[in-house]
Amino acid sequence: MLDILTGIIVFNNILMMNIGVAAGIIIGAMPGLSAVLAITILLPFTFGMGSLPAIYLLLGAYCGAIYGGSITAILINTPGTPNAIATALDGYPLTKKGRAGDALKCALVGSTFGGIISCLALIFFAPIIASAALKFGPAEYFSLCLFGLCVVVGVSGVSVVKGIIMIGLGLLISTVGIDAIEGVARFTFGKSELLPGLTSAAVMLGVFAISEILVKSHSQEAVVDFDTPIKTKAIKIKEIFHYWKTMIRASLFGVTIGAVPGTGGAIAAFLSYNVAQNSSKTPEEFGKGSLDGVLASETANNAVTGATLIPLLTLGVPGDVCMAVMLGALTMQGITPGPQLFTENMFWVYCLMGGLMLINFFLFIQGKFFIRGFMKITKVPTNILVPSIMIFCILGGFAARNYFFDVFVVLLFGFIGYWIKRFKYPVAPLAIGMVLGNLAETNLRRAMVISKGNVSTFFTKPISLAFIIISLLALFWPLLKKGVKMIKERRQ
Amino acid sequence: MGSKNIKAEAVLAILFLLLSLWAIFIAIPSEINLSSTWSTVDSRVNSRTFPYFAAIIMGTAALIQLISVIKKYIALKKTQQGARQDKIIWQKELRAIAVFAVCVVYGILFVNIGYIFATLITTPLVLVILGDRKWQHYLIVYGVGAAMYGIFQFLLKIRLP
Repeated sequence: MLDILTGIIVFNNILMMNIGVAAGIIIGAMPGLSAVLAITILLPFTFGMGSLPAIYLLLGAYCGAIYGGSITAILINTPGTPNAIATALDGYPLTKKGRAGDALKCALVGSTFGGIISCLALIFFAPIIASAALKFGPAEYFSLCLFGLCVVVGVSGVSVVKGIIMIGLGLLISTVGIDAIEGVARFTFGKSELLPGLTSAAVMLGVFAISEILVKSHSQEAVVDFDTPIKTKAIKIKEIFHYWKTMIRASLFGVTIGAVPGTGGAIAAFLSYNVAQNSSKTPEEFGKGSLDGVLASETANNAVTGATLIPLLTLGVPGDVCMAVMLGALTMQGITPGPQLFTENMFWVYCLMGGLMLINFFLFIQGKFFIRGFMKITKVPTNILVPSIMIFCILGGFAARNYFFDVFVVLLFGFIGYWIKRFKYPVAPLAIGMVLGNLAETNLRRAMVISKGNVSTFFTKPISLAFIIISLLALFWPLLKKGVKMIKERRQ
Repeated sequence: MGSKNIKAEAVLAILFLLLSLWAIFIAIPSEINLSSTWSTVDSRVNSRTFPYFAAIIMGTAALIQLISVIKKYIALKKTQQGARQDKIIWQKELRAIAVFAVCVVYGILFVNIGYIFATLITTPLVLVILGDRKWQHYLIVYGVGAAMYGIFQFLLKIRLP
């Protein structure tokens, strides 16, 4: 135990953790720049380092970027990463009420809590969770995606029908480009720029950020309604822990979903948000500025961070693109993830797990420092914010892939997003539909190839069937609730 | 909701319906060629299945939305509320469209003459459209542009045009 502690608490390690976290928060907070970019940018710096400081630097950037994505979601309604889309649902309304500090603090505490719980899961249950995650085949993956989509429709607005239209549009957009299974070009209209497909970063910047500056230009509405006083004293941490049930539940969702390779934090965040809303005593506050909602999504998406390491370390399977970059970094350091790692290099594994715990503490300390600076954005006049966000979006759209074409994708989706928002269509289902579209389609087709075209494959596998049933419940829950209420009223 | 808003809602629902019909009958058959290699695999699912699935979902929901909007319109016509007309404030509409036009110009200039000059030219235009006359605001926006340039070019090592 003492050996592990002395292995972790070395000046160089602590420094790398902090540099990683700071870089991650800054990059994650910039719209369009993702956790993958944060890790990739820092990767070349690890070449001359030892394996532990190198992995601490990258893990710090990963955790920091996932948290950083929530900052712009809360302050300017522009999620930095898809994981933070659910956070914007309540974070931005809180900012409009002058409670940006509360929302940011909840996001920070939730992120730290989720991160720590996922570390504990990694330390104590990694092999068990990894073997359970291996039971996920294509049918289960497709049902999980279906479940994610239904949950988004259920939580993101007043009209389920409008939500379904947006999901359909998002799924359709996700099919642009080369088909991953057959290699056939789809909806490219002869343009080679469309062959790799549309990036979610460019679409998100358009529908969330450009549309927001157009809405603001239309109404010339300030970020914060200046009639409502800005709360200078933020909520106390002790008060945030009144929502401990939400935080524990969200952590469990994050760990479970994060351990399934390829799923990511967006599904976990929406699932957690949906459950928090349904079990809340004040569900009507969700979407209008509920701290419970911010905590539910932020705790869940950061609980994914440690859990994604489970399949990587135990099986050598990278769960997402970030983990694939991490796998590359580990291989360059001469470390081969997989079952043998736990027998041959146990000391290193425990140092990594302990280090990840420490990274979450540093995330909390640095986050508190950053909050003070970021809160000042709410005091910036709209006139300054509009051109600043315009610069942000064009740069972010270009930087995501270094494609000029993406700049015009940002603008096109900004215009579409503006009209969608004007007519009160929810934007989140469009973004999530686009993010989950590829995963859903690939697994639908794999499942159909394996079952030789037999659709019953989705209903005969218990995990898949369970997800389908819960999806339908999530979609029709408001209608069922209404029906039950009407029956009760008639009886009375 | 006034009658003009309902009409606009109906127009949007029709647009989504037309988009899905265009995808189903024109775009998918003409833009997605089926692979001959995969036609031997008995999966009943090909490159066109998922886009059809997405378009049908969107189209069906748009049709339901259109019907519900028409129902609302009929109900509104029967009541006194139907007499209420929503006023379109053209100044607001034009302001949003003008800001979008500047965004498009910024995108075009960004690609053609580079980040620095595009930012120098277009950001003050946005402030002018928003009716801002404080010179400090112009300076602050230029400061934001300079900071962004520094972060992307030197810190993140992303080469800007």
